[in-house]
Amino acid sequence: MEEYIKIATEFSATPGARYISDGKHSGQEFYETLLKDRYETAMKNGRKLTVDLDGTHGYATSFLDEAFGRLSKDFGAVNVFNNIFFVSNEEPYLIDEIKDYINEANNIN
Amino acid sequence: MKLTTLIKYSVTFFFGGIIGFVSVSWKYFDFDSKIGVVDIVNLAVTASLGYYIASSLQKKLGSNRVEKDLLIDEIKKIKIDIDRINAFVENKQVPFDETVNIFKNISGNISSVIELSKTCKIKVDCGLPSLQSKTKEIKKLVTGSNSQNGQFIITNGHRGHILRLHRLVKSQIFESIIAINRHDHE
Repeated sequence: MEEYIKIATEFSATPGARYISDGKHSGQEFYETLLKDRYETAMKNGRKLTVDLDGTHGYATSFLDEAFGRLSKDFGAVNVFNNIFFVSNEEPYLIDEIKDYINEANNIN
Repeated sequence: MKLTTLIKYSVTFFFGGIIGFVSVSWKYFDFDSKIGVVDIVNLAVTASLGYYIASSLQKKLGSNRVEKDLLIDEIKKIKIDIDRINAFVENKQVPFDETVNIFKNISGNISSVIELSKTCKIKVDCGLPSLQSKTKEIKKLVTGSNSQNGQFIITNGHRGHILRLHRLVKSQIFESIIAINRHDHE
């Protein structure tokens, strides 16, 4: 069984901006309270982490950049790409966008 | 058969009869009292060919039009959303939740146009990747900005860049609509 996060139900249907100081449901809050822990658990158990992006009202670039950019900075882009899987049926191109932030955080391009 | 179709055929048949009667009665026309087999075959083949060409052509043109209109309607939705974002940026009032939601709609609509164009076999992909990358760039500039009190704070430098990109996206949208409209099925 794989680790799984559905942002809309486990975090918020209305993800916010970058930092906790910007308001509710920020990328920083998502990273620190949910994403980082789940990612570490998945790695510890030798599983992949699936992040389901569907069901929200949309994502600000600042939210995605903060959450997944920090994951990339803390664990390395290659490690993240090998251990994370995204689901986005409503907005398929969001996955490429996130991959850009993961690369940019490590200056890979 | 529908009643309206039946009425249409009856009226056509009735007028055909009248024209036939007038033509035969009119002294300037000289008709043979006998009709040859070749003439009947000729008439039947011509009528069948006429019916076949008219119906198949109309069917093909009709299906093309419906598919093109469907794609154009989807692209128009993208334009409406992009214009709304532009209006927010011009008025320096960029509401966080609404803006983020509009970008989600834009992204979803672009992917649906790409999928639909594949289904319809209408090749409009020439303009869509560029449209997609430019809207992505606009999204990055708008929603990557700082936010305060439920509004994105756009710097003057970013504002100018966003407005320039908006103009490019608009002309890309028009190009895509023209490409769809002029497209011939293979």
